[in-house]
Amino acid sequence: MKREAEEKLKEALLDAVREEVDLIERETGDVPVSVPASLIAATDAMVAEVKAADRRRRSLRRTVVAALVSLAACAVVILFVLPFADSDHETDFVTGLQAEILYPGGPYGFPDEIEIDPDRLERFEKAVRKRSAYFYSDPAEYTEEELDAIAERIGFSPDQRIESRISRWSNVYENPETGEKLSIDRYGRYAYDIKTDEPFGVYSLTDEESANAARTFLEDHHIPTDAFPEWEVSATEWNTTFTENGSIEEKTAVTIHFAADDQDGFPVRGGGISVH
Amino acid sequence: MSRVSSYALTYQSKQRTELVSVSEAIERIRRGEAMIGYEGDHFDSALRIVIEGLSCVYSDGTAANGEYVIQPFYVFFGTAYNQKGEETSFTAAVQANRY
Repeated sequence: MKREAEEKLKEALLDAVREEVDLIERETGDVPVSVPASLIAATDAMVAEVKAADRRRRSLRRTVVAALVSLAACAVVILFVLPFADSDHETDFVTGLQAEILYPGGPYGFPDEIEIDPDRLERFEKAVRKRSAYFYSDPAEYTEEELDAIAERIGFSPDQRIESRISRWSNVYENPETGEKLSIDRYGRYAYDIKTDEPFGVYSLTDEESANAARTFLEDHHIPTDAFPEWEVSATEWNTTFTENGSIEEKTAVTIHFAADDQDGFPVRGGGISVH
Repeated sequence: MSRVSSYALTYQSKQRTELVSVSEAIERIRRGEAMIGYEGDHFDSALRIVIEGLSCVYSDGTAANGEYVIQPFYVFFGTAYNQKGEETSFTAAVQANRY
């Protein structure tokens, strides 16, 4: 009896999720949507349904991300769409922070005319009217000991630290035998040169292939990869020019973007790891 | 030699924020408060753009006070036309929350 009730409940919830997804997609048209977390129950069928919706929005997302990276490599798009929120919970905008984009005015010329089909505009307006989003701030800072722990995971020991975050806001480590250096700033962001004869190069791969190649590379060189949620393997690949020892060469860089979906799992980690 | 860079941040604070209307976001583009780009090196300026799609994403960056933040952005995309009558695709990223 209990099992029957559970099955009925699962079916009812699943129908609700399907209905919600259909409704949202009908209302939002071209705007990708995510399913409200409150409707995502722990049933395999529901997870499958959500993943299907996720695949659809990822397809568009990859297009947008690739376009943005072509604008500015340092602009990092965090890869999840806006959470769908109840309008009852909307509040006034946060105060005290005047956020601005990286290149106000843009590096390119602006158009004299901007056109949009009125019906399309109305559809977009309707899609975003009921939504609110989140604003993240106050990134965590790490102690010197915590930075040492990160360095150890990469392969440097605390006694190889040659500079401290106390004086430079970054811990810098140097391996006296190889000359390799690692720098970790107070937020835990690091940069590390790997001396290897195996060039990291991936060309014309899909996002997922690039991400997996980069992930494998990182793991092979003992770079921490625990920041990658399993569901997030999207990556951006681009060709860029580097100057090393006075010579210029083309290399392929891959940035793996990741973000913890915080609808249930705040605090969020945002950013990426790039390899070139 | 390969270089690995990580710029992951763990954010400790989040606040719900209201999105501006799409019309207001388009006004922000008109005011030049957007990051816009065109497909193709030769296409550095457009006479006219036609918006065909919209996406909502989060982007990280530095606020005016120097603090690192993640905030929502609208990304418009569509077709751009220049004075020569050439066309290409464009994207325009606009901050989607109020400021």
